[in-house]
Amino acid sequence: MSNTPLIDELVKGPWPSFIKDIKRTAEKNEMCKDLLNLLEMSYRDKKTHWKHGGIVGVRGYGGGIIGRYSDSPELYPGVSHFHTVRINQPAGWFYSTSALRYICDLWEKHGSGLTNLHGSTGDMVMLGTTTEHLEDIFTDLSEHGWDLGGSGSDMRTPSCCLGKSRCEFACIDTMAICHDLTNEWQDELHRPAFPYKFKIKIAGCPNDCVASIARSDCSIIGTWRDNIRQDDAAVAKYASGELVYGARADGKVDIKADVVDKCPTGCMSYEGGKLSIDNKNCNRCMHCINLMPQALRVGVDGGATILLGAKAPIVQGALLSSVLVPFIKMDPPYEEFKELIGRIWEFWDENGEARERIGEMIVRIGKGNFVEEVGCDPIPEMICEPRSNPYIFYEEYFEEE
Amino acid sequence: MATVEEVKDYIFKKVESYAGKKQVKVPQMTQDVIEHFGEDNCSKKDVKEALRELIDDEKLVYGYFGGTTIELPHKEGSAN
Ligand code: SF4
Ligand code: SF4
Repeated sequence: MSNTPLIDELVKGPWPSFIKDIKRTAEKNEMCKDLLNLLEMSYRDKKTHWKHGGIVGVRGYGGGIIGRYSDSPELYPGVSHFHTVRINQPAGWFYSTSALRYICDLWEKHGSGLTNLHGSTGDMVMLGTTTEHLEDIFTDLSEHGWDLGGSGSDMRTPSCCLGKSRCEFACIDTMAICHDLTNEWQDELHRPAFPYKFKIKIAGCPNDCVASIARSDCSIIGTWRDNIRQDDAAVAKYASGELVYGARADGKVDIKADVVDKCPTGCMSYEGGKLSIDNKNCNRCMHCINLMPQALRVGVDGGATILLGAKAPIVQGALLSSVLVPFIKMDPPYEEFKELIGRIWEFWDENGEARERIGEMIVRIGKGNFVEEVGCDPIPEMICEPRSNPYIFYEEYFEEE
Repeated sequence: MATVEEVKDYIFKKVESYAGKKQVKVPQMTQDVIEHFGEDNCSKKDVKEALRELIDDEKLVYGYFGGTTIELPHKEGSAN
């Protein structure tokens, strides 16, 4: 009989199983054998047998390695230390096979052989190594042109969608921006000095394939400020069914029902076979472009919308990010954006409480106050609900008296 | 103007006095140092530079306690 009957249940059924992966790796790695035993014990005792590890690290770095120790080293010595190493992923997650092979070889030599590509911040996550291996891992990685990612109260490893490398919707060069910001803010990435973590994600268009609006303190989302480019001949082909949209069973797009009537701002019309867009009322949601990509294209005057404040529930509940700057050009060297982030960090540094994400601080002090302090212009969309407290007096009111 | 050595010395003594009693984070320490020397004599940049040297010389290390802290070098408690 197996000595891990409880976790063996997780292998049954048609779904992928992390236990299956660990068992396969355990055939040649002793750490993984003890990992399975420790997991079985946790399932049996209905509690974790990992202790909070604090930071173990490499010289000069305050992030990138998450210490993990088990509470039963005498029972399972193979996992008495089981630290995680985060590696800064390349922009857009492009790897050559030799780069991946190198990472796998490194981890078989120095760790459990278990990897997680990718963690929610974007890093490559290497699971399970011991303190004695850390400096060797770091040296080896550095010699091969890699670096550690972020952890703790620092700027976390910026991440981005693949943008202009493969996607026709990209309004900004996400990979170039990601690479530049990572290099610009090396200190902020490796030397934690913030009240808490700060994540930056860059999406090339409002489809937001990196889910920046839900998962980053600062979302940079590509957009355009001129008009949607429209090809009337291609619109007619979608109408006749010559061009098809993959998501419908019959492939056809009903331009009135599927596109125009679903435009969230009602700024489109389709009459007599002619599609019209009132571009000044378009909110760049991408719906029409996604449905008819050969007929409608993003504008050519690209830039980004900057949003702040998303986070997953940890100390407080989850937040989505909201717009701070509706449009900013994002051309190298991105000075305007960097200055804006500098002001935001400065203010957060001075006013943020310990373990308070920037979104939580904005909720606490009020978006109006925050916008004023960081020198941005207020816009009507920043108001999320009508004022319910009538006892507000404006400065002008007092001046008039 | 406070010299880097003076700032380093102040930070180190503070962290030493907190050892085993209080966890200190970088933003708090920065405020403390600037208050001590006065805004005209010490900037955030000076504190950052002093911290960088203390960490690189391994006089202080980063720790983690609900956010990143700065501590005297020690063996992780959890490792025991
Ligand atoms: S976010 Fe937009 S630009 Fe980036 S991959 Fe997705 S659709 Fe393409
Ligand atoms: S992008 Fe969205 S808001 Fe703009 S026209 Fe298309 S569907 Fe309407």
